[in-house]
Amino acid sequence: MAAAVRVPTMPRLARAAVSALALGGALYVGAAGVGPLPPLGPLLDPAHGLVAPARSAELPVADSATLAGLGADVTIRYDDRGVPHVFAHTMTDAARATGWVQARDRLFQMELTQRSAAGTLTELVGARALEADRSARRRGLARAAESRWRALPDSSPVRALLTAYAEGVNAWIAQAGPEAIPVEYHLLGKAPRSFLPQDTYYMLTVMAQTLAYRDDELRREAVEALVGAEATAALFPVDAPIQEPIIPVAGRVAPRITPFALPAPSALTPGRVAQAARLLETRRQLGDGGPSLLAGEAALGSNNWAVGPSRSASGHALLSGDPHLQLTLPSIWYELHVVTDSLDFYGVTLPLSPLPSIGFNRDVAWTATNTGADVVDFYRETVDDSVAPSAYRLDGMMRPVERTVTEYRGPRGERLATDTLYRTHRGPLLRTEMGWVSMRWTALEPSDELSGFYGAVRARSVPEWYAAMRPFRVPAQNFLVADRGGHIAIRSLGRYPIRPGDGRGDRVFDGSRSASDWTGDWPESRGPQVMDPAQAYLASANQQPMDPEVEPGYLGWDWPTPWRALRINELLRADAAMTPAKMQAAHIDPKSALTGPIVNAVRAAMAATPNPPAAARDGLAVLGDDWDGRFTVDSRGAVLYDAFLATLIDRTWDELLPPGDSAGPRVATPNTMILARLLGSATSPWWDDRRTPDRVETRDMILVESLERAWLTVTAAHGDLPRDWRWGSIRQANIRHLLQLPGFGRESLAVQSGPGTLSPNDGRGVHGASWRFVVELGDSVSAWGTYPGGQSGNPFSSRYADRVPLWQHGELAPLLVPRSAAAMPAARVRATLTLTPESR
Amino acid sequence: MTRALWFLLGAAGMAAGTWFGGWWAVPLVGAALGVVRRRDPAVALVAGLAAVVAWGALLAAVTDRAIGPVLPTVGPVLRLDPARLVAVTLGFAAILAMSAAGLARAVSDRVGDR
Repeated sequence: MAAAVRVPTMPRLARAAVSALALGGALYVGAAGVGPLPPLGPLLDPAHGLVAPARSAELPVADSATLAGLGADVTIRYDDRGVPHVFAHTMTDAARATGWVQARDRLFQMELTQRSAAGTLTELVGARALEADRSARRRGLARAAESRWRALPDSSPVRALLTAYAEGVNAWIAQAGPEAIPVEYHLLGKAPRSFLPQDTYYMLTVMAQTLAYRDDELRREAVEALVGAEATAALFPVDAPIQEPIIPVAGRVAPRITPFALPAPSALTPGRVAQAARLLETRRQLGDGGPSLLAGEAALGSNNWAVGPSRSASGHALLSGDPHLQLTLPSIWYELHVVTDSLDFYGVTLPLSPLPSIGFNRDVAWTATNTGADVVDFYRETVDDSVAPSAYRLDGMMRPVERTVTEYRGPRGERLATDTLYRTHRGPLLRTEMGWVSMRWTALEPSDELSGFYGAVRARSVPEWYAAMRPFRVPAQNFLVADRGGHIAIRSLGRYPIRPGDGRGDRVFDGSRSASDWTGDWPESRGPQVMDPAQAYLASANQQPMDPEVEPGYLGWDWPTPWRALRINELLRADAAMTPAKMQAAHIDPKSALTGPIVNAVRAAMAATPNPPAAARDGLAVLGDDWDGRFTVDSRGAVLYDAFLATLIDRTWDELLPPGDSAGPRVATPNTMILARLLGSATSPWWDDRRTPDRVETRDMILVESLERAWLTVTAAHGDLPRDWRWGSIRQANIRHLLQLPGFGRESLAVQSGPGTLSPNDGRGVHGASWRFVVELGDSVSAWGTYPGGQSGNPFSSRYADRVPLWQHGELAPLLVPRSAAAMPAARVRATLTLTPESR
Repeated sequence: MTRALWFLLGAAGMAAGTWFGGWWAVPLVGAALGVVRRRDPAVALVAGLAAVVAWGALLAAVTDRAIGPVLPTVGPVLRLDPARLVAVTLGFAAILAMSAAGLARAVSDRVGDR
């Protein structure tokens, strides 16, 4: 080799200079990075950098570690679905071990969740998260989490549990080598932070924000400015005009259709246009309110249902859960089974919690849908200084504003921004386009959900379960529970504020009067609830919980459409021999209760129209004749129907476009329940499209023209021949990584879902079923489930997204529920981890 | 010792140094090679090749020889296809080692001359 290589020579000094420059440059790029690039050295280092987590992608078959604080050995067996079965003597030991295993699988997700509530994402990802952090801090999420933790008595078992859990997380971090640290930390050039017991409460505030924060009253006021108060009240009503309530009404087998009249929109004035613009800007200033219900159809559409023994083939109670949330990788849920000397529960936990939100034990199973109650109110405040208020007016007196200066730091500790946070006695005080507005929100006030879940896993019956969950207040949930005794029940658990006056909260209140404040909460006995109804089945799908004709009272407004509830009830009513397999099939049932009325309306409009356009005739042939109304992946009619519905909505609600901006987006969109009711009125002024001033449209004109336009749109996009259209190629699920990192997500997945089906999809595909499961409570418990992702947060792991194909096709896997470590079938054990106390 | 043996020693040193220390072991071992082999006009090249072999072996070992599935996952994050990601990784190691060896050789030569 020595003789074979001849190297051209260079003057020594020049050689040294070139080498020094190259080395200096490489070291600089390696240690400090350049431009948007992170430091390349630690990133590209194959042993400790970006690819290093590939070393820890798979679980070692046998592993052991010491864990300080344990009272005795804990054995954790991972099954072939990656689910850890934690066998411990005490719940505190189980929680400590759960902290360890969740950190091992989901550490980065846990930190991201905590930081999103704390408003410290900038410290991890830099200035791009500044607005999100500002929003979190201004809403007071961290303060709420901290005050809940402080309010826990020292003697509370939950305090001990969360302390053990956080110590378990930190113990894992302390022993983790670079290969075990999640890849996201390598990319960001950061190390994991140390966790605290109260971090679990931060996670809960994030969930509360997702499920129970709405600032739609500001958008509603903008609508009111555009079309008038009477029309707004009909477009976004307090009570759903189609009543299919969660709490069944004895003897009723069909929905109650209430009288519906939509007053004509009022004339626009420049002042009202300006007011609408101000209100919309205010809403923007308050931060992202999450998926708005006023967006037409809720992006989140959770379902649950249960049948009693008399309606199941086995004679046992059956329960099905189908909560819908944002689709992410890693998934929002973490599956866990815990067995202690006195407990045996299985379920899905939110990483950062040792307790399942949804699950079952040997006697009871439970699941939830979001109640969507109105638990946020806004108050216009009168302040002493429009820039930096120090006092606000209340009942004629000036009261001091609480002020806190807060700093936002970047990844290197540099100061990015400074804010002053203001508070009144109601909660955060925010500066907006419409002046200073304070907010009151149940999620910012004392509650103790974890004590509820701590008791719930111990319950032996439905009544015991609800008794244990009494502390649960936020976010209000429709908890459906079944037990081995054959009982089924549903109760909308939560805190429901009582407002003064008419009791409604769908407007902005006058903050200068204490008389505007909440006067109390609904007593528990008044909340929506029923146990063992005569019909022997129960279901919820986010719809209005109680029919106001039977049980009046303000819980919220602009309720989600009843299409899912109608379809579930139809399925349950038609089958007195329900099985787990039928329940599983229902999760992706392709039918929608909305389709029939819409297609019938367009069919009638075509029949009433002399010489309809050829495109509309072709459209009707596909929509009305060839299509079975099912949103299957291969469906052709669904492609045209979806385009037709979008066009119909666009043509109908033109009055809600911002004045002077015909391209939209609309200020708000009434949901399809309102549209379906409007179809009963052939000449309503709402059918007239203001964008065509030379003519006055009627219902039938709009229906036919919408079909024509939909046909032209679809043929232009997908070809002239309907046989080439495929629903699955346009309606897909997109499961994105938490940081939206390309390559770490699973996107463009054809799924069986459609508007109004049990698996709704708003087109973006970023929301969907987050956990589907079925439980049969017989002599022994049997369960099936899956979620869109995998147990591991490591993108290199075979357990990262292994469940996606099963989820995509609506299938469930049988859940393994062994009573002891020894009882776990050896063939299904993939790994064993033994944690021993430090002193041994 | 032959150049080949130094090449192997260098590669082993860089792999071990990276594994137990970090990426900075590559220029360190490269510089050591440059000093010890200052009479070898090809020492920089040898160091560069040693770095490529060392990091290549580590990549294969770390990904359990499953570079195929791992790199397509990571590559898009850095907006690189798998081949380019490997090239950038190994190229970075090679530059570190070559430049360190070249500089060390030049400096030690000068010191030796004195």
